[in-house]
Amino acid sequence: MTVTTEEIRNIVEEADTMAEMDTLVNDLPLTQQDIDSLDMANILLLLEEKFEVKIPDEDLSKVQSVDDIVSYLSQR
Amino acid sequence: MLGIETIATYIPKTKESNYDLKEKFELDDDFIENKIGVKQHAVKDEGFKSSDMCVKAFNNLKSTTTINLEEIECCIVVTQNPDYNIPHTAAIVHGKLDLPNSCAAFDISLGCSGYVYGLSNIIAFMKSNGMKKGLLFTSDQYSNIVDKNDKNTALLFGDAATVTVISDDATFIPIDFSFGTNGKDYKELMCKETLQMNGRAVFSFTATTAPKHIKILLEKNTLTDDNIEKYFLHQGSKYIVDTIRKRLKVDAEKVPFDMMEYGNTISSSIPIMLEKEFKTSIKGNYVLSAFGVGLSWASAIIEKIK
Repeated sequence: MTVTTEEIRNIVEEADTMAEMDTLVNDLPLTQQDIDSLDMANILLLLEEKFEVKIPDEDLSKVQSVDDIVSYLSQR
Repeated sequence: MLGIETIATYIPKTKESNYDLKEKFELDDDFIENKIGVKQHAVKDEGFKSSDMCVKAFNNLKSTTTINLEEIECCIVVTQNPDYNIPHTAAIVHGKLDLPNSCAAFDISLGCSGYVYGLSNIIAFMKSNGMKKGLLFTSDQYSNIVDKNDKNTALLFGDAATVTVISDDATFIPIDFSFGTNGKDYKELMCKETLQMNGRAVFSFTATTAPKHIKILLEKNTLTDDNIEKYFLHQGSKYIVDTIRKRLKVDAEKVPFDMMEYGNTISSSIPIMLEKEFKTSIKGNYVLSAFGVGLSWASAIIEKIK
């Protein structure tokens, strides 16, 4: 699957979190950038819907940052 | 036509503040107020059981409405925290209220979707048996089963009970109901010794299922958002109510949020909000939609006719 950083950042923005998109860093965990556990659940749901994949709870450690998510989805 | 004549509620006066748990769970005010949406949750008196809370709700009903006990032909209690495994709580409520021996009494074991299921059940049961007046109770005390060290649940749930009077002197009449179940995922929200909730799974289920279910029910009845006065969604958390509202693309004013001062009261959350509508002069269609343990969901369209 081909996934771009921009697509993932757009989804983070769509989730309407408290994170500042201008300063959001791609290689830092989202939960360290004003994104809480509820926002994270929403982002994961939006990812599942957009890319039509299931992200199991066992894989949560692999989808912590924007870069992580790009890498994880690219291998699906 | 049988429908909702009136509603009374009981929310315990004792409250536990979520601000007192900020340090323990590393929370900030924004998370409490804008994500969970619960500043404090209601806690029942020590030793109080489901039936005691039903009686409290009924006493509140009597303080505002004249009720002739001899007229009550049906008493249903929606609870997943019964007084005992045996007998059913409705029988205990029946005894405590001194209802007539000719009155049918039974429980419905459902969680958050319970009020909508209960409403359909009691109306259908009364209609098919020619009954004229019945009582639908909701009552749960999650303070008995919540693990106070579990951030997922300790902040969220409040104790409450309600009673809905069903008769042909109705203010709200039913238009249509729809139900659903995903039993394969029952483990995502369950109680063995204490309540366990997979927050992510429950969020995903609700955010995807509830908006779709409401849309299908409206389409089936050839209704659009323009035909709906308000949407009474189960008050799971502020985040989930906001998420469903955004996915439905409806105005915030049409989707009341009401749990801030008492918490998620399971099957009581919708009747607690609905009770307040009796004080308004608004007439028209209302959507009820609830979702939770099971996983189970139920939606209804009801019409306020006076």
